[in-house]
Amino acid sequence: MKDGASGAKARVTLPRRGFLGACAAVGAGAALGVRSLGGGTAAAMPQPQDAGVSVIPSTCNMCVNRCGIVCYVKNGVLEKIDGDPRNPLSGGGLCAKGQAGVMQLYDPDRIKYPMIRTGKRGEGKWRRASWDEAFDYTADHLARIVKKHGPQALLWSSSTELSEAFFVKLGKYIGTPNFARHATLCLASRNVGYFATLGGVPGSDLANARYILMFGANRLESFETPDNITLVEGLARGARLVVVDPRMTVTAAKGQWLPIRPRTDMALTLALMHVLIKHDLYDKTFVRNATVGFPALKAHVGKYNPEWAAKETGIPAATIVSMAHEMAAAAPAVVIYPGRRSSWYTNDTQFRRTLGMLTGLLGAIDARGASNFGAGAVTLGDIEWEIEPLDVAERVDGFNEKNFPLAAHEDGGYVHLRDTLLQGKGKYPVKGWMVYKQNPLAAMLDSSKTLKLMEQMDFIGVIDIQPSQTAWMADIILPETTYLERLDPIWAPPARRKFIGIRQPVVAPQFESKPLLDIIKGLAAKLDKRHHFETPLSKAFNFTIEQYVDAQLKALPIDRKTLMKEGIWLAPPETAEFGRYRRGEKKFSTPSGKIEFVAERFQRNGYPPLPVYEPPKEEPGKQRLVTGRPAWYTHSSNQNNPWLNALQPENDIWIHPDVAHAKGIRDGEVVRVRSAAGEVRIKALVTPRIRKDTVYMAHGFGSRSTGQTTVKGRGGADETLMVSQADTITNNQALHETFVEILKV
Amino acid sequence: MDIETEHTDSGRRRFLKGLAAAGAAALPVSTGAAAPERKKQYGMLLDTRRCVGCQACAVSCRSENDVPLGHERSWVEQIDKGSYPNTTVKFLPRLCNQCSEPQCVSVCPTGATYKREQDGIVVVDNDICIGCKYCIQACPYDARFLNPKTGVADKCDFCADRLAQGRQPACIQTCFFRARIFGDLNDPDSEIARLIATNPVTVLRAEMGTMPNVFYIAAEHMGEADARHYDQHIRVTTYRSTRERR
Repeated sequence: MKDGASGAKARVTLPRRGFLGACAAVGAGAALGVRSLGGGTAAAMPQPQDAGVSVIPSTCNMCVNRCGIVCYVKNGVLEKIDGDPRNPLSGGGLCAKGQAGVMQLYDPDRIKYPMIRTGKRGEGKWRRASWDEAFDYTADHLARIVKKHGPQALLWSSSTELSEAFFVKLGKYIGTPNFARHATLCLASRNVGYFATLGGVPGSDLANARYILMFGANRLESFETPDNITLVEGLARGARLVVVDPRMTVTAAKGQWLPIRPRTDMALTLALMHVLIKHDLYDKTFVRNATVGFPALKAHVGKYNPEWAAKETGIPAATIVSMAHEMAAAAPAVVIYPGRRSSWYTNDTQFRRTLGMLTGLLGAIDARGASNFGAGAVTLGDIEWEIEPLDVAERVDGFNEKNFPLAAHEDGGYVHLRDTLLQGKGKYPVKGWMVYKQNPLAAMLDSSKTLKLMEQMDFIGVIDIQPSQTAWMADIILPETTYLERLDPIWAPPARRKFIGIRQPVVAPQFESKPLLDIIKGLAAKLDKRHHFETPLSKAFNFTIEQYVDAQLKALPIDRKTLMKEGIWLAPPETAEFGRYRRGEKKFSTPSGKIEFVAERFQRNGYPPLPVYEPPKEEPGKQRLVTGRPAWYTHSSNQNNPWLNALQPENDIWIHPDVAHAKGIRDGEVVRVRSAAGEVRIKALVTPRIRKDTVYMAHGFGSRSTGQTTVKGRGGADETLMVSQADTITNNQALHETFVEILKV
Repeated sequence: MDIETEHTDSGRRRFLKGLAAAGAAALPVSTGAAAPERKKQYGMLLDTRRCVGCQACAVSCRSENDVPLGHERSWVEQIDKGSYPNTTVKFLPRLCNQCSEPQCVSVCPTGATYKREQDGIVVVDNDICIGCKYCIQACPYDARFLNPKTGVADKCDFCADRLAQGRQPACIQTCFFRARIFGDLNDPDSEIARLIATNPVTVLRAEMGTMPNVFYIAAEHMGEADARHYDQHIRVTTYRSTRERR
């Protein structure tokens, strides 16, 4: 507990309200059944009961959580997907998206065979091609670019996926350095901020927390297993939840909503640290033993008092003070939630630092109900890659140690890359763009710029399962199988109860779709025919997916055939051990081995070592645009799914009633939304669930792709409106820095 | 807590009162005593505190039961109330209430719909149903629909086929948050019976006398019609393809 030497502290009783409402039966009510996470149940795989029905375990892919699933197949037709109760992260649950996986498989709009563009880019005129012609066509275009400009002239984009490594390796063996993965579309700032402070991003023991502070991080709509599950468990046990967000998400609705003025989040965190220090509420023992830089922190937050923060954030000073007291009383069982998507503002990295710093100040780490490191993953083997990646040119955009010292260079910085190429400042020409499992035209802010980038390309090739916006602009679309039709590399996530999961075909590949490894092999073979690579590319991919999986499982006590039957293998359970960091037995992965209030890595690289608050811009008469998602959509990937689209056929723009009234806008009316980047038409949702200075649009609508027949022409695209901005340290795109005018049509 | 909030959908209730009067002659008079004792009465408990309105249950149901788009056997409503910044958002999973005094059974001209002896599930025999839609009109919960593919009345049957295989109903199985609990209400040791015994619970439209076997914890009973009476903003989003809340 606390250092008692400083005398009595105010102990604030945590009010039991919000979740349990007026119901008095707390004790009895708390006995609600919980999902058994952590696995370890001896439950066997469900067995088929109907004749002719196969029950096949696999791994979902409707989002990146990859929940365990059990698929019911009859006569080669997938009839139903259930969650797998043995999965330690999902516990047998499966969300609307996972349930709608059946319709990803049977979406009438899915790409059925290779398609080669006949009209202009984006016109939607295609002709069917055989795989042989498709490989020829693609290899031909790639080889021509390599021959004329060098392999570095290829931009190689992909997002995280179990088989993504095959695509990335092909790029490496061809010899391009210009990779653009999803990190700067999403969470690069969070990672860098946390790595510099705590040495990594910890897990959150939400089920046992007594106080949970979440900024954005809409876990009850933007599911992240197991946090969405454990958050509800924590609430059922009486945890206090405070959600800081300019709009009332479902997560905010389950706790106390603090409608913060956008882009002032750092004012709140700095002020909380100010109060914790000024009133001696912080964990002195922990700070003394396990942190560095406290004196500098104390001096730094001296001026960030609650009265100042109240003016910046709109959150009353008394609220900020009582938050600090409540947190301190609940510590160490406090979760200052790291969040995931940190693509909000240009100072997100520094803001995420303050979350880590708050954690350290409270000692809310390495304890039950707190943040914790310790969820590891099962170690998998690897195939013996027969060739080495080549020495390659430097990146076209100088996204390197020198210019972006703390960024993840392997992943690329998307905004910086696009800006460099559009301004003609690349070190050499980039003329070809291969995309796998990514939708940059929708994912990147300011889509007019992405369209301009596409114009620079002699060739655009897209590997996808559906006619996404990006695929619609391609010269060729190569259809991959859905997750329900392929054997993939093994899924081995970090989890409290370590496990591995299989992803295997539950039905045969539909139409002429191919698993990624087969596409890569086909491309490699044709590339070898057209271009002399030092070592033939085919040699690198001289294995079957079965052999790859066998190599991954080599050191484990389970083989592929058994895993395909069982679906899941659980590592022996490990007891949670708290206190090893607190006792100094384990060091944090920072340069000092301690939690760093003053970030040595930042200091070394010329960034402010302590986060400095910047007041946000305002634009009178305009609202700041924020984005997010409901529980049934993932980014821009499944709005065309008929079962999900039925829940929400189009998005709308959330507008505060006073703002709507002043503009004469009625609920449901189509309005014009205009920014410096573009304009969309979209229905207004007049709601009190948002600040007057903010408007909200769910992402993933306004698709240009007329191949998506369910969703085409519906809703508005937030990426059309968003002005291109990025975090200064990581180049993480900053989606919430755009001001819009709402106008009557 | 006001658990008997009346819905002011007066036109509908007038129709149903007339219906009940007509039906009363044909039915054994309900004295308030329990409906015929069943060995087993399956029921469901919805803990709306745990429900986040993610619609997983609704889509799981659609998948399991081949529910055509445009119709639902189960759906989840969202009720927004209040003014900025004192707004609330609550969720109300909806489905057939498997009533112990089912209005649908009392109006069915063919006997196609009936309440099962062995477990109290109200089912439709597709071979007998003539699709007259009388039951669809009669249901106070708008839980039934005419299935365009089969041509007969359709509704939640607690996934009777899955139960026969020893599996949980599709909605129960899929919910991450265990907002839906299923079991035998007549078994005092069952989880559902214990939870109902130890929590304040309500049913929907208690005044209809249907004796539902679906119970709610912390249900938000207000609807848009109540907004006038209480002078506050109330928005109900049904997430149903074509229908408003009834």
